[in-house]
Amino acid sequence: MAKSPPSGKRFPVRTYVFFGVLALVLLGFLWDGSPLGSLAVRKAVTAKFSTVRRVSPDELVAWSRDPNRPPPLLVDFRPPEQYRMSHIDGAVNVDPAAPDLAGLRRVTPETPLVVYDGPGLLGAAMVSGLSEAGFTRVSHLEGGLFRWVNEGHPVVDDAGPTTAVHPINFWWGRLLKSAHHP
Amino acid sequence: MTPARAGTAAAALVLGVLGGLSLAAPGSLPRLGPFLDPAHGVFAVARTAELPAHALADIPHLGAPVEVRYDARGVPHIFAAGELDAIRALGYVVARDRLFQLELQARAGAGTLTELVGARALPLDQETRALGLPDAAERSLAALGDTTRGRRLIEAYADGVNAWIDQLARAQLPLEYRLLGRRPARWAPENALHLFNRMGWVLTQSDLERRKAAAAALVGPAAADFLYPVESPLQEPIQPSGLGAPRAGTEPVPEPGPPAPDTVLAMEPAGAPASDHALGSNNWAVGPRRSATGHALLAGDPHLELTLPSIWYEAHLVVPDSLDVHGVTIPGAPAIVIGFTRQLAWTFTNVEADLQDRWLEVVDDATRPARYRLDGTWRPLRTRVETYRGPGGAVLAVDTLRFTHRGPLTRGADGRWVSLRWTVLEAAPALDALAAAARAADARAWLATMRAWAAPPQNLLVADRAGHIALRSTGRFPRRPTARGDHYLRGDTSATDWAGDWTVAEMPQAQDPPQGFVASANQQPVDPAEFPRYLGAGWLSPWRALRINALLRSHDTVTVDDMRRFQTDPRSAAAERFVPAFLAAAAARAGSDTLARAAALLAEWNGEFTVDNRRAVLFEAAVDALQERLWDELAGDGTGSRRAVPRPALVLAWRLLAVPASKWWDHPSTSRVEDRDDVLAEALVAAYHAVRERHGDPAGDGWRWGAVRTVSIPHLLHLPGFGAGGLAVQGGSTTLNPVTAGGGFGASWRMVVELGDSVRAWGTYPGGQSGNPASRRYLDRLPLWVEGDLAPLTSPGTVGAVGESSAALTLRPAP
Repeated sequence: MAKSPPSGKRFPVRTYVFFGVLALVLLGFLWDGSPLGSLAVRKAVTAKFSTVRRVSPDELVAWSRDPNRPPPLLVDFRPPEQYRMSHIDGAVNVDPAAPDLAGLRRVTPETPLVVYDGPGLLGAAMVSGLSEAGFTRVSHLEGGLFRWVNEGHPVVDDAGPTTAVHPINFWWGRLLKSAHHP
Repeated sequence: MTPARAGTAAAALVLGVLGGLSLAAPGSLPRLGPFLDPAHGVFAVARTAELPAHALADIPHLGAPVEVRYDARGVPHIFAAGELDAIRALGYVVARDRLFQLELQARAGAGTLTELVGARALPLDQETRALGLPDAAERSLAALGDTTRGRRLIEAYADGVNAWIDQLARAQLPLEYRLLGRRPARWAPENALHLFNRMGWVLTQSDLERRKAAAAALVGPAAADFLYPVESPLQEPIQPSGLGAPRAGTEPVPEPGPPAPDTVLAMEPAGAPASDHALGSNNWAVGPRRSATGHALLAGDPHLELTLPSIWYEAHLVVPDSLDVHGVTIPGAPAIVIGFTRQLAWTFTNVEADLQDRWLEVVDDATRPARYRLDGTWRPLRTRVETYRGPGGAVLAVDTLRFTHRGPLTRGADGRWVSLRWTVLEAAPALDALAAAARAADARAWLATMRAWAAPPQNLLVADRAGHIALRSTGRFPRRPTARGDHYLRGDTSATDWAGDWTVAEMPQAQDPPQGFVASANQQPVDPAEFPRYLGAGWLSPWRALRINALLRSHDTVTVDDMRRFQTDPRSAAAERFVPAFLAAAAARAGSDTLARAAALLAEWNGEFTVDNRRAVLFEAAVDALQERLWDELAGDGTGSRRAVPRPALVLAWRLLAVPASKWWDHPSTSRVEDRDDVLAEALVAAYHAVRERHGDPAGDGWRWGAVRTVSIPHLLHLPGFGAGGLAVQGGSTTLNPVTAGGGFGASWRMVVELGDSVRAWGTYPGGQSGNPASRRYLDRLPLWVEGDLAPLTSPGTVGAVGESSAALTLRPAP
């Protein structure tokens, strides 16, 4: 389990805000050497679907452990019942059927977000709402939660660590290792 | 309109059917004047549509009177004193209901369609004769002799057919003859041989050599062998392997390579149909241990081209203390072909074996050869003159056919001469085998009698009241010194000639196997890991075999109703394998909203091809788009030998799913290198766009499977208004009940039999007993067939047991 994040402890939102602002400053210059433009431009950049960055499960783990980078806020973009069964520790649920960004209200737009669903489809709905809300640093977890657990990374439910992951349905469940079927 | 004009118009329709030439343009339809003439137009057809309550007829050579009672389903129950009398009566009742079909099918096998419909059928007749089929029928007839049982059977059948034709009143003349302006020809006994030859052509015609050569011209010989393989990459054999599960091949996949330098175009490439055509069939049986009642159960559904009238005709023959057989016959066959007795039941599926080999011959003259080279000497070619006549007897054309000792010699598109050897042309007549087998006391005796069956080879399934079940791939399978028969062979040496046949013991088979069931669905019959002898190549995908075996393995108390439900089971073994591949590719290639949308829609599918399903349409479109993109190497460019070749079976695409970086996935036309997931994702997106464009919103009724994929059953002559179209039927391309994009092929007969203390049977076919479109018995079975339901097949043992009969017929010896 060397790849596991260090703990199941949640970061307070202000930590995200702090690192988000820091990330804005740092990454804004690192990006292409020019400061970020207006909100409209930022929206345009993030709304352009293909430019959404991808992060693999291992990269996410490394990122979370890297003291030199602002840790990402995880957004679990699945129906609440799937989230309740299990999710990546620290993830905030946004229901695709009724996208409500209330859970992200106190997060600055510059906070890096890593969005995931079950199988890792990168649907426009997953990011457009976030981009329209002004978030500029949206990444997508490659392979979604299925690949995350298939590669041995942990998930939690309200009671703590668990192995079960919601398979969505018969076909999608075929992409999930049987050990993770509820 | 003159009769000749009407005949020409109808002839165009005949050609449209038999040649698939789509000549039935509205402009060629006959005018309606004579057709509506009250004296002998269509009204007479309507007046004679139903059988009279009582009828009486004389038949020459009849030994004793025969009583026939038609039941409520229009099935004639024939009670005769002797078997030949029963066959005479069978010929009579089939002619009474299906006269035009009888003549048309026999003429198709005899290559004499021009005599019925004129010169426009000439290309079809020339093909039939060039294949040597009428020549073979003549030799079969001579081999039958004058006194054999087979000879007496076909003569008895002719007695019955001709008795009907000879007494036919003008008002009883079938519609099709009125349209053609013709009278029926008298029935020759050898027409039965022509019919069997025609069935042999339908069931065993193959172009493996040409297909492989054409593929080699595009992607090299090793890749061509991969595309039409000698061993199916997914083994679920008919002869149980003992694994209890399918076996996936692990042989390396050859990449597409440089073209073969020397390509034979010995035959003009035809169109490029997909390799997984819908001509196929299912049969299976469960032993007492796996049946709910403790009795053996048997089911069968042969898949053929669907027409009205149907290829099948149901009948029941009773000869006291000798014969009691009920089932379906093909008009022209002097026997029940699939059916049951008081002891047993049987049904067939086609063995997709390679029964045609082709030799490149060395001849003495490139345009008019008289001799061919063999083992260092010149041998004379046998010649035969074929004369084609029009309806009036005028000579339309004359061909000279040439034969080597192997068979008919034809000149290919590239000028090379190729001879064909084909078991159908050498079949020992087994007409009497079916008739004799119907008298067998048990499954073992039935199978023993059917050893004589040569061609077309069939997977014979039989079950009996003692609980025995048995299956054997039976027919003549040549031994090849060349080890294989899927490439052109050298003709100038006899070392390449066939050397005998497989013995019965070598044929794939199973009797009461430990698994408790046997099943076949046209797949490779025996796992080459067990018996690695060449039997054919380019096998059909085993999806139906996988599904029925999965169903039977998971049911250990099978009921009659289960057997019936399995025949139209809505699930597909192909879907189980391809849907996860599409979804995994969508996740791996995430980045497009359309891809995410398409994947989400596909994942909503419950995997069933039911009429109301709204997602099956996306799967079928995706599989189609996948094959189009995967096999882009096979499109050719039409230059020289680079012709398009048929898509390989879908199971080859499945094999490549396990080789994600294979060059087969890459599109040669693009600069980047595509892999499996790229192509799967492309195909899914393309399918989504195509289905949206054609069928609208995914939530709408346009996506209903029953609105997208329907079955059409045309009249034999494609007469408008006399077919049945737009039938919503449960099933897809890869389900047990095949419903393919063309929609014209499918389960031509379905039967389930329970071999209990008494034998009980159920069945139906898509059509009706009468060939008269005005009859209520023309389409009466269709609703049951569409629903996947079956009717009880009652087999009264005596005239008195028939109960309420819809019509009676008494046949008397002609004075």
